[in-house]
Amino acid sequence: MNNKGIKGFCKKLYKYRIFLLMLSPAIIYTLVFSYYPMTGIVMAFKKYNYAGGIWGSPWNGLDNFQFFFKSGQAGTVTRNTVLYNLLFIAVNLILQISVAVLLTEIKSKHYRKLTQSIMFLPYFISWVIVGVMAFNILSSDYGFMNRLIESLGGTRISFYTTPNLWPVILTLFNAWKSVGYGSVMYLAAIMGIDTSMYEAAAIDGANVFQRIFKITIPMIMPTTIILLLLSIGGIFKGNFDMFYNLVGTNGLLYGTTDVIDTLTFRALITSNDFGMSAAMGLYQSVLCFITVVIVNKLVGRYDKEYTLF
Amino acid sequence: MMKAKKWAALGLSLALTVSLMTGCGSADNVGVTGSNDTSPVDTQGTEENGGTKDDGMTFNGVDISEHVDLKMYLLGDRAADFDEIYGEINKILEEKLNCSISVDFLSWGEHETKYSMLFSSQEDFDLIFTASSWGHYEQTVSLGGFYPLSQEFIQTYAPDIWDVVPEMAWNQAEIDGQIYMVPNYQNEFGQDVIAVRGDLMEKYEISDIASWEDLTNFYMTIAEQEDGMYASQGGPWYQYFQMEGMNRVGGTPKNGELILFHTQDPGNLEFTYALDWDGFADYCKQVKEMADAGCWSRDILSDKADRQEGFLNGNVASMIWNMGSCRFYGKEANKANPDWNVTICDPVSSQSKQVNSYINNGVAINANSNNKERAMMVLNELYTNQDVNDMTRFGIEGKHWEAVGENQFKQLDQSGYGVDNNCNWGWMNAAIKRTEYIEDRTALDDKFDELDAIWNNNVKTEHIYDGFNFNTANVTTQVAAVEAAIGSYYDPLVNGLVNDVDTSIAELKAALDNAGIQDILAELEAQAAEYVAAKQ
Amino acid sequence: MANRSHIGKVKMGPDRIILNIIAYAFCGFVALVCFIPFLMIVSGSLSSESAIMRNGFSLLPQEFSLEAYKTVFKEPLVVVRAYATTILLTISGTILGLLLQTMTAYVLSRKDFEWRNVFSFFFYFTTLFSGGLVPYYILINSTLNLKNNYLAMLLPLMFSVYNLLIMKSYITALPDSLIEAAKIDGCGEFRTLFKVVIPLIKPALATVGLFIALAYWNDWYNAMLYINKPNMYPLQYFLYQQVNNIEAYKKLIANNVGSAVVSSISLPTQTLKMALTIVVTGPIILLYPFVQKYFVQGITIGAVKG
Repeated sequence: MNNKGIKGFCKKLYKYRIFLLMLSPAIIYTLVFSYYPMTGIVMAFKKYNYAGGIWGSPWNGLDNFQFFFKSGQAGTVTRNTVLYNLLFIAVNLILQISVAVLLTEIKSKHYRKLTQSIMFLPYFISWVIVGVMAFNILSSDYGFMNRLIESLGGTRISFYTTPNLWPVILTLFNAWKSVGYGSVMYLAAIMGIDTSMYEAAAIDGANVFQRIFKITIPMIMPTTIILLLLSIGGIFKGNFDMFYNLVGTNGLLYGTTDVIDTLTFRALITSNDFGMSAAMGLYQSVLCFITVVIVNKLVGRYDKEYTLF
Repeated sequence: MMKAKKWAALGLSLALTVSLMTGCGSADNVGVTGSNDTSPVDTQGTEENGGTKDDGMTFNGVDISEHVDLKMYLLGDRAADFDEIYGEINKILEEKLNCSISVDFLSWGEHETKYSMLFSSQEDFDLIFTASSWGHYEQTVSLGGFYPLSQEFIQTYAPDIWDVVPEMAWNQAEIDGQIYMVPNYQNEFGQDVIAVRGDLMEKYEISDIASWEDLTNFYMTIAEQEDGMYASQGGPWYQYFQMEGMNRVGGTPKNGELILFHTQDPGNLEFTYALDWDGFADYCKQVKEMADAGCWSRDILSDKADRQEGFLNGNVASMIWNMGSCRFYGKEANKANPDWNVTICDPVSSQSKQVNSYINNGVAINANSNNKERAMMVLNELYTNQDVNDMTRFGIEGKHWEAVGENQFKQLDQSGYGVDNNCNWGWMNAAIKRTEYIEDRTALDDKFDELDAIWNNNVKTEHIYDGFNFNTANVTTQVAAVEAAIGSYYDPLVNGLVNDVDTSIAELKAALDNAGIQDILAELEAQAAEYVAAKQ
Repeated sequence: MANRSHIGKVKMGPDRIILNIIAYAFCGFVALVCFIPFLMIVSGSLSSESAIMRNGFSLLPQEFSLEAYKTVFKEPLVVVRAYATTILLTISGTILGLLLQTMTAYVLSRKDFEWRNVFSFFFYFTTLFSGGLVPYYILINSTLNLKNNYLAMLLPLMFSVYNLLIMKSYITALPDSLIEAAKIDGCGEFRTLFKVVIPLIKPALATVGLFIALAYWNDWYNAMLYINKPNMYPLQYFLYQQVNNIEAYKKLIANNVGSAVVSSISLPTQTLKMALTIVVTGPIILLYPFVQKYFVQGITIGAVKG
């Protein structure tokens, strides 16, 4: 249909009128609660003060970005942020899909429901408490891990002064905390698989492993890809709560654990410079945006229906 | 069909519920804290014609015939009897100043975020508590939130405050030539002491900890002789430079720890950049030795436990803190373990004592306030009126506390209000301040008084930089970059947890140079020179 | 779980056995790892503060004490009120939010809506860029004047692009023939949505509904920013206040050099934090089994044939 010009556009408006009606609440909501505040991004280029507010404060070009690059840590924390996110995405993906698949294979309803519910518990424990627990486990004095190591005849490890162990530690904690919540989506996707396919496979003589790898996993690909894309959309954003509560202000570990968000926090905690924090937010957003657009296009080449937009 | 109807019905009832809730929320009806927003004499003022209740009423020559209602923000929680007490205070304010004040609170967990939001969203209020650094003073000034108080303004609207607050306090509050807060007036000392296990001191025949050598000796002894016990909870950097007669320069990065001045020598106007000072290197090497020997845990940088926890548990032999906290926790420890014999020592006894920064508590006026003059007058009452001041500190006389003599008090009922627990520190006034009458005195209290007396007799002569506060306006980028760069190196260095001190110091130096510390130092010199010149 | 009894009893092959072992063991292990810390928190909340300070966490309560819970429930009416607020917010927010998101996702999944990608991007873009807290705060507080209004806690969480896109992917996974069949039957879009699509995506509804509910249940941030009337506090914020106030107050003392203000610090803090966690988590965990009911497979079979 090639209706050119305004007339064509109006025709389309009429054609899609019901759709647009159904979309209107969400559109209004998004305009009010997301796009309108988004204009505040200009703060990244201004020297914000209370009297001027967002719009009246004077412009200062790219000044607000300078502190980040002068700190000498810009490369390190950006690298850390991206690498950790990639690591978390990969580990969580594999773990959560495995859990979802295996859960559905469990015949006993009670066992399944019980384990599934229990796996959800870590979601409710705030990172503040997890931080305290982590300290209890990893402390070099009376920590659980060290007591275990010693009882097995090994020497104590000082976790809080050994930066290279932390990618593993952080990944484990992150996986533990999100396994319940994350696997739910894959579970729901598995539930949506047409069971007639399993029957057909059984008749064809496939064993359970083949069934899982040939049917279940491919059938939840759409969901997986969407979730993957959504995660990649945040690849330059660090989970502040987690890093701050687990690592604390332990400079010895910053080389391998500092992310953009924690560095910004420390740099600006005294001055509370809104312009600079807006600048850092913009830095992260732009990088995320570029990444997501590229990845989305790549996914689109593979299958148009899998793309986010 | 049924399903659709069901959904519609559900949706409708939900919409109803939501609108009910919003109705409940927006109306200021009488809830548990209904009185929070409606002060007792609110209606009276507005219902009278034009609000002129008392024509011709003045204060210090200023016309106050118009009734106003003021709003103040304090930090903390609203105590159970808070409204009762401020009701009484409002009676006095009504009579004397034809106004009333209502108080809103920013709780401890939220003030970090919400303090600045009050200004960003142009909220309507008049007075607000503030403090240097932790109470957002410098931040808010640089963002233009507070109203500058000229000498004339203070003298006109708060003459009693002007009479009582020492010049040094105003100097400290001054940023870029203007004063933005009324600082509190307390002769508290800004130096920490050490609470230490007396039984351990006796065991190793250490009579007193009165010098740096005593301190390090004690630490090493504990580390070497006592298994399973730590000497302290970190490196004593403050004690080191205080012993050398130095102090931090207010307003500089890392809480002032990087740039020091010779506070004990008024003639010496030099600034000492810690990383250029061989004292710093010497200190770092000493603490590395101590850390390696086991004076403190290797986990201290990540440990979120409170300072007193290790001490009270018996895991740590000493605790460095301010006198008040040392006495309090020392008494607690002694009650639980009488054999510990906790006592207080002064490891920097050789130096005379500096009175604490006055801007550690204060009150500021909102730049957007509509009633700045009246707010100042109210502050004048809170600050210098004995009855009002006592009420804000202790509560209602006879119910929460009782007077003991002219200048002492005894607490009667702690549950409703609490002593000095209601963000009243902004108007602490040493001239009229009551001290607590302690009934069950212990040896620790005697030691406390002894030290207090010694210190009061040994007050340091003023150094011109004591009142100096660095203004970061021209070097905000460098300051942020320095704060960002310093984390990886500084804390490990001052706690002795690095592998090689010289290398680490060199790395830190290089990083800070890149971040722009030299620009900060240059700016500091320029500002200091101006400051000194203006004082001549 | 698929009901295969009509196929006839299938003998358990070795692959089935191996899978069972792996499944039971793995899920059990993960569940255990998730459970133990929670158990420690329960035990901690029932221990005495001094025992925790001395010995750290443990699996069983040390020096059994209900002190922490007593502190939490010091004013029981306030707690009940906070519970009520949260429950009301959660229920209404979840239902409204689910409606909104499902309807929007439905439109975005319709292949015959040629602007669906444009709108998807319109929504998605908002997750990438944000103006930060200041403009948002001004919006809610001043522009919309929702300070101390329940809507300030209800609206911000009602619509999440993340949930929207997940819902969209579930609806997209439905066979196209379903929609076509409905259209042939003469259903308008609303009817198609409510009568045809929604019954088929129960797991998705349960999932997204759960996520929305959890977001409401756990939210304290919006209350902190916009509400300062204690009788409007939701549960999480009310509890968060209790803990944070003590924590920050103690930090204040550490900073307030020279001040002798050290009263009332005998309140339990570690145990209090743990008791609060339990109090907040308890009810929602009870909701979960109810939600699991919807994780049922095999609904599509009938739909296509019929």
